[in-house]
Amino acid sequence: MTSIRNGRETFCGFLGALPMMISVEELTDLIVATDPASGARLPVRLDTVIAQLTAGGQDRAARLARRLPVRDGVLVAEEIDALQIRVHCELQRLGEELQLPRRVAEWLLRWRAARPGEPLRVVDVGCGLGHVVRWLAAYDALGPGVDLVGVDLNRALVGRAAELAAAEGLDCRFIAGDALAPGVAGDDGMTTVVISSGLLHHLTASALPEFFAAQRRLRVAAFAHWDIDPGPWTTAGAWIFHRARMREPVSRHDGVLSARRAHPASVLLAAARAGAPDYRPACTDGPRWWPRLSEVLRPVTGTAP
Amino acid sequence: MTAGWWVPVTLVVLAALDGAFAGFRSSCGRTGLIRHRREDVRAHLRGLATAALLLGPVAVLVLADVLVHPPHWDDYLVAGRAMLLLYLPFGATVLAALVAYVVLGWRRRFLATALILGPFTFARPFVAVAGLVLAARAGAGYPVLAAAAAAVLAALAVEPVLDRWRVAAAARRQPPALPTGTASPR
Repeated sequence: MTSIRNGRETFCGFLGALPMMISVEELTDLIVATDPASGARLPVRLDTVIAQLTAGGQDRAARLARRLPVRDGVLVAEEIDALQIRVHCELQRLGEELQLPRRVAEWLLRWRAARPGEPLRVVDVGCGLGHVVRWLAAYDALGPGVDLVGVDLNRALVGRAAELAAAEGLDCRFIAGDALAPGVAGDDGMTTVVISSGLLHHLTASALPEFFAAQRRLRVAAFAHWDIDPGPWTTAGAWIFHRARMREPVSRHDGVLSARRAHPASVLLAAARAGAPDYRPACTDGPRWWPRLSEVLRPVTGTAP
Repeated sequence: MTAGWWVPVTLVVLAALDGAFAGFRSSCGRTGLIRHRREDVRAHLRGLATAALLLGPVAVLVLADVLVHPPHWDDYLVAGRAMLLLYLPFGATVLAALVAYVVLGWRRRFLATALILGPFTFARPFVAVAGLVLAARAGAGYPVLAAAAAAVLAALAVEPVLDRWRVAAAARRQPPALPTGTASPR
């Protein structure tokens, strides 16, 4: 459910029984800017970030932003890259606890069981440090003949992902760019399954149909995107886990906001049907007020006709 | 004075386990590597050593106090028993969850994390302070309470101390062990 406030899109979320308007901005989304055409890093002015956060009523986030390293009013790119890598390392730890790679592997193995022997490329969109791709490679979870590719717009994260894969001798690769642009992650859509984890809540509800439409244009064999099943229990759990596990204040802030911004299954299904009408979409949420501990992360999936 | 030795022994065992786990938590989510079992073992040992370093002086002071003033032994026992009323079930629950984590399949392993290990890490400082409150309510005197408070503070300081040590160590490494580089070619 979305609405417009202060000229920007906001989400209607719930914390307990109280409806709240949630601004879409996570700090990690605001402090890095990339030129979509060239992929080059763009300078980000701190006062612009703070103005955006303050206008959205995110005073705590604005306070955190004021502590970020600045040179001549511009966020220091190297320091921001280092921060992003630290945040994603912490996220990886949380992903381990949530058993995220195993959830992905379980779905991919089930999907592949119906197509034995066929070549397969798994493309992780918005892979960050490539935790899922590197885990699949490290444990050879999908068997032989699988091309594992991680793609992210953030060159620093992709660069570190490639270094980590090399350090552990893993058979996977990483690309900086738009994974859903033609030719970036490969040309043969029919052998490609596009996955992501924790990406969908970074997109507004109005941007979701185009996200699925881009995968349809690539004629991918299937997509499966894991994200948080929203609800009051998830939000409370996210708060507790981020207080207990995360060290970076930015991680704590963005982690809880992620849970509050996550899209319900109805929104994801509607977007998948609008963007990829001939794919068979699936996504389920449980009862809102009953905790579904084992399904904190659940996928929206679609299979080519 | 020999009666009740199980109280300090149990407290020391719990403090050692807590220190080891604090070391592990401090190490988690640092490197981004997939295989980190060896580093996990090192982190537990580092936590244990740090706990010994921070809690050692408190233990020496308590021992010295008991040797100089033998009647204080009973005061320490009263405080220790009161604290264990809370710490023992808390620690036993965490250990049971860890056993479940190791033994069970990954779906149930996740439940051990979601229901016990995560929330109990969050609750740990509050439980530590609540143990002090129980000791005070049990009638422990001010010197004993001061020693108990110092021990609790030392135990809670293990993780922040290790965090700071890691930050300082990372700052000393020039260039970093795994520098940020360019993406692999298409």
